[in-house]
Amino acid sequence: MLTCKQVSKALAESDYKELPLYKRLLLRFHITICFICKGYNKNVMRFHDMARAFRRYEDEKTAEAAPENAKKKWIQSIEVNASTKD
Amino acid sequence: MKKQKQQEKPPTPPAEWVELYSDYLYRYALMRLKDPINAEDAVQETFLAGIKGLKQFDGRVDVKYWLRGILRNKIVDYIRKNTREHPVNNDDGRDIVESYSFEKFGIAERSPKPWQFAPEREFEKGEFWEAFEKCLSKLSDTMRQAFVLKMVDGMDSESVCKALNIQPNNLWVLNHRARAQLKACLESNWDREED
Ligand SMILES: [Zn+2]
Repeated sequence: MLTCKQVSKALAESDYKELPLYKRLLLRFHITICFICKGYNKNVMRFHDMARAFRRYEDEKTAEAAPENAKKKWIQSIEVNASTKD
Repeated sequence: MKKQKQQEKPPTPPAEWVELYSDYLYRYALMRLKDPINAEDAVQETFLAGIKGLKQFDGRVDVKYWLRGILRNKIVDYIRKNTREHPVNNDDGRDIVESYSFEKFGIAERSPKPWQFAPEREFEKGEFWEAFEKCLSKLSDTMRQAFVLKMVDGMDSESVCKALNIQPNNLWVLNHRARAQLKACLESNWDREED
């Protein structure tokens, strides 16, 4: 049996992904029967979901962001470096 | 067969990179570094490293994400350099550790206040993420980076600690505080539509 302390540590650091399967099962079992860890887990999981959804949003966002003068600079240095390659 | 596979996805030529990927890469860098100059330089270095390494490009991922992989390493380098020059105050989270719930259960808050709204219902809305980004940017640099590297980018704890020049216990404290501050910020800044 895991203690609440062990459970919350594993949850907080989200190292459960790296835990062996039987430990993950113990963890899940603990969370189903312990209301203290359940509430904590729910909040942590929310942030995991949020972070994952944010990553998607970040990947799909298309609005312009980079300043024009930076773009010009990048284009120039790409031209120089790509042409010296051939 | 193998040859065919390689030809299936020729990499986008560098001449098109700025037009296609620079806004994405710059925004990605800026969110993590906050300093526009550093972000600009990191993107520049990424493009140059990309040109050099183009031969190794195997087409398994889109060039966009291949470049992002390079950029992420550059970002971690910038963060590491910065935290070596300006180490962060070691927030040991004493107040958390000494709290009743923590001593008893190892949990910082025995019953964290329920959310005033269910954030997952707002995930489809662009405005929600704009609010989220604003709230993220209000966190201290270290806190934001701890949260983003660990939770958004999915880096392992050890690498995050190395980059931020902090102890494992510190990462836990930072992420705990980041969660609390993000929640409070979102609750006061996000007007969800009543339905
Ligand atoms: Zn428990």
